[in-house]
Amino acid sequence: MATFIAKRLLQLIPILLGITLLSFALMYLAGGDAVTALLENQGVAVTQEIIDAKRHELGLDQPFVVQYVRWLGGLLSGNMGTSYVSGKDVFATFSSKLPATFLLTFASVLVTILISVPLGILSAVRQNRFVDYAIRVLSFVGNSLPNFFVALLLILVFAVTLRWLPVVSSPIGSSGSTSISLVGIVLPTATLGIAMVSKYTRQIRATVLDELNKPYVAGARARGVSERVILFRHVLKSVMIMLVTLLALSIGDLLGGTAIVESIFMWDGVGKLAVDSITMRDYPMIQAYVVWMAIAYVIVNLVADILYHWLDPRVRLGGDEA
Amino acid sequence: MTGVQTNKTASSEPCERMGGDEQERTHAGRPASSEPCEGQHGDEPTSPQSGRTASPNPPTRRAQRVPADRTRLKLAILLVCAAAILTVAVLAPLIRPCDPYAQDLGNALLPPSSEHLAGTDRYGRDLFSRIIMGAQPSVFSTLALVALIAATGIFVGVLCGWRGSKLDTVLMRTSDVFLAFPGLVFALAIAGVLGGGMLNAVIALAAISWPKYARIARGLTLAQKSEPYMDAARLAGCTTAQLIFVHILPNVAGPLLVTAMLDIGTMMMELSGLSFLGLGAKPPVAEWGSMMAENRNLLQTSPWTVIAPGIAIFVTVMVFNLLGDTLRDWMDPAHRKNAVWREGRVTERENTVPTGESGNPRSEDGTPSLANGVWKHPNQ
Amino acid sequence: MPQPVLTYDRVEVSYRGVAIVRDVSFAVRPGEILGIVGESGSGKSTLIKAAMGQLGTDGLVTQGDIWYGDKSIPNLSPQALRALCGTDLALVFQDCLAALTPIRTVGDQIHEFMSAHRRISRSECDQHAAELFSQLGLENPQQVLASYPFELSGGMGQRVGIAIALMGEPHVLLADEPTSALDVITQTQVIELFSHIRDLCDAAIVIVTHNMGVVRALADNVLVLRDGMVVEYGSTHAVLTHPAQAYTRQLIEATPRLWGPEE
Repeated sequence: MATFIAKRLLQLIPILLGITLLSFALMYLAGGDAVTALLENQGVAVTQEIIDAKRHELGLDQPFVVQYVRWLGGLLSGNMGTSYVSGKDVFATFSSKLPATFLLTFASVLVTILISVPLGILSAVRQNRFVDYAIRVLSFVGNSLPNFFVALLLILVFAVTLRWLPVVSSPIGSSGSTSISLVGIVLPTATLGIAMVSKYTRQIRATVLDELNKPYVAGARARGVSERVILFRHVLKSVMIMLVTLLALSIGDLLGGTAIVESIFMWDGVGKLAVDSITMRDYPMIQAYVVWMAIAYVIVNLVADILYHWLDPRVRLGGDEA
Repeated sequence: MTGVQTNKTASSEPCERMGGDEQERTHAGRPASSEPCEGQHGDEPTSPQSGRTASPNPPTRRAQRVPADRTRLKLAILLVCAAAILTVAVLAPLIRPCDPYAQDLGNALLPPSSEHLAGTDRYGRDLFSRIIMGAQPSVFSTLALVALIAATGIFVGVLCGWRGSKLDTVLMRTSDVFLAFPGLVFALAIAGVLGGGMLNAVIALAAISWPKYARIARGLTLAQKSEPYMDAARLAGCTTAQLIFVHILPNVAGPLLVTAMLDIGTMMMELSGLSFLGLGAKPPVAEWGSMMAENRNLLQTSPWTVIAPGIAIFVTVMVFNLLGDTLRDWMDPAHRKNAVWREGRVTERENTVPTGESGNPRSEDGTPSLANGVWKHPNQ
Repeated sequence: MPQPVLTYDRVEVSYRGVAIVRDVSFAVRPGEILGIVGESGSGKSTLIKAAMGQLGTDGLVTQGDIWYGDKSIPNLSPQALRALCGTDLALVFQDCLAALTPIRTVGDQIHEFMSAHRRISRSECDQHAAELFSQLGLENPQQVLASYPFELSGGMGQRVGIAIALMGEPHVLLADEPTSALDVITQTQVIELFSHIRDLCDAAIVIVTHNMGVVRALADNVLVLRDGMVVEYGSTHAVLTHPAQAYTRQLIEATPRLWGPEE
């Protein structure tokens, strides 16, 4: 097991290098545009000389590789530059927004698992009956609604019409308030949850149906084991294994999807930060966003891989990776 | 362990019984009566010693409900719907009732009516027309995006699968890197850097989506490459081009087509999502995502300005999602093999049973088979 | 003569409205071994599964009854059926290892299904299982109990499958092509096992196979199935020496002879 983890970590390195390279290439592509944006944001009148001077100051006229190495060095020591917009340290700003996003991600994943696992299993066990059809239709509709539409609809219904919930929430420590607004998390979580539940329910249903058709289930039935035991002690474990893989992929999506949802609900996380940065062309911040999200995604996948190997005894005892 | 059964009396006879138990037999089905029925001999139907025949009563029947297969019908309907959407997109400039760009501030923010089917927006523009016109950028960009992704993916995938070695490793590691970025994040960044506009949004999304197709194509190519028929073709003298285009590509194209169809819906949502954030189409171009964005703050007062384009996206995505699903079901080999229950079609099995004149199954040399309920246990 | 313990009365089994097996009738007595023979696709596995109620959602006994004692199996409620499966009626699969959950040990699963029928402690269960394993020629029964299915070989798996079937002390033992997935040497061993079982207990045994040699070696009576219909039904000796149908003759001639205990 330890060798497996070590091998995986080693494989990470080229990928991480590739990620950082790509992120940096982004900034490089922006080129003069970035500097123009910077100067404009600072309210400086833009002439070619000033641009060139600024470029020289920022070291942007160096060759690509030099810039990349410098930036990478800064990255490794935690220095990601300063924001073009606020002038503050990118790393500090970025990390201050992370907790909000983590909270939202965690809440969504929790809600998703709690709803989609029972629904998916129910749908599979009652295959082709009314319950199954109802769940499938709902999942389908949920899959076909863009998340920003869902967000707006939820706002319309719950915040505007019914006035049950506030539209805008302030999560952690923003504008003086240090309390976490639990009420404010409901709508964004619901938005993210609807899309995820729809997708997961279908997947879980398919997996359970698949498993129920396998020979070992026939064997258990022929031995007189009750359906409930078959379901919960045998099939569910396979579902869990599959769930782990799904979750890893989804967390990646979530971290990206939260950009839209966070913006709509003004949830002060890194997603909203990213969108704002992109709109204002705050390139160092954009870079930081891309790098951090990719690293997080890669780490999540690694953890999922490890979990998967630990859960499936065939793989574990078989010695090698499946 | 004796295995000897206690009195198997006439109570176990298949007496007159309601036929047609449903397949979902949740009831306990003990024989109805517990007394010997009329005309029964006292022994069980299987009394081998006495050489008796099976019970003269007709055998119990149970009906089996078989749902008809509606896949082809669904496929046909959905293809028509998709074609309708495409037609609307193509003919949009011709079929829209009003000028989508014509402002009429006096008539701003009217709710849906018979005159303006979707109402008007803040500039008095007819929303219905704008939605119809919006079909063009929304639908065509999506289709172009998916086509681009599929083409790139197939090209890279088949190349890697076929050639293997260094090229394969390099390209696959590259795709790993792209895969490492959670989708929308990178697309946002690229779109942001490139500036807005639909074209850039398409490029951004294509850049992060091609790895999935490349992997599928590569896997399929590798699988096909090791099939025996490929060796046969090679020995028969096929050129590399022939091998790839005639043998591999058709096998790769099938599953990829299905994947592409299933992705149309997702891509449309992502593309309109980018537009919603301001990174796609720019006003005054009518595009469903950007329409929703520009009317966002009217949500409370004039919700139809946001809902109408949303519904347009929803319906389109749903049609394509359903189409992709149905196509996948239809192309599923298990599904095709099991299609014995199409109405009116005789199955293989039925065909091979020889029938005598009266339609009763008979064995090969014409002697009545054991179908008549007349049989004897061997130990008599 | 004892009463038959399992009787098929003009049974027709359909999958999705299509009859796979038609008008099949036979009976098995305790201590008797019946061989059901036919080509692939003749419906013999379906026949066996119907006796255990294991036809799945697509299959149904659309006509006739399968009598176990005075119970008609197709008419039983799921709970009543479940009570019979594993105890009164037992099934040996073609691939016994596949019939076990891959992620739990053999011992776990044996205890699980035995607990489904009656209260039994783990140690008692293990002990009983180990005894059966030894009787069936498995060395190191404790290790087998602690193993996962994928760790066992094919031959071991079949023995485990037979042991599991015997644990419930069944009155009817059904075997679905128990030797088809094995190499020839192991096949012979498993065949010997079956005749050993006949000495051990009084169950009625039904063996489904496509191999006439197995029938010749083991079965008292044989039923020949072709395309879902009964072509021959009689004692092994009678059918094999004087087959009434041309088809049966073809089947006999097509089979290489096995060295069975009856030879």
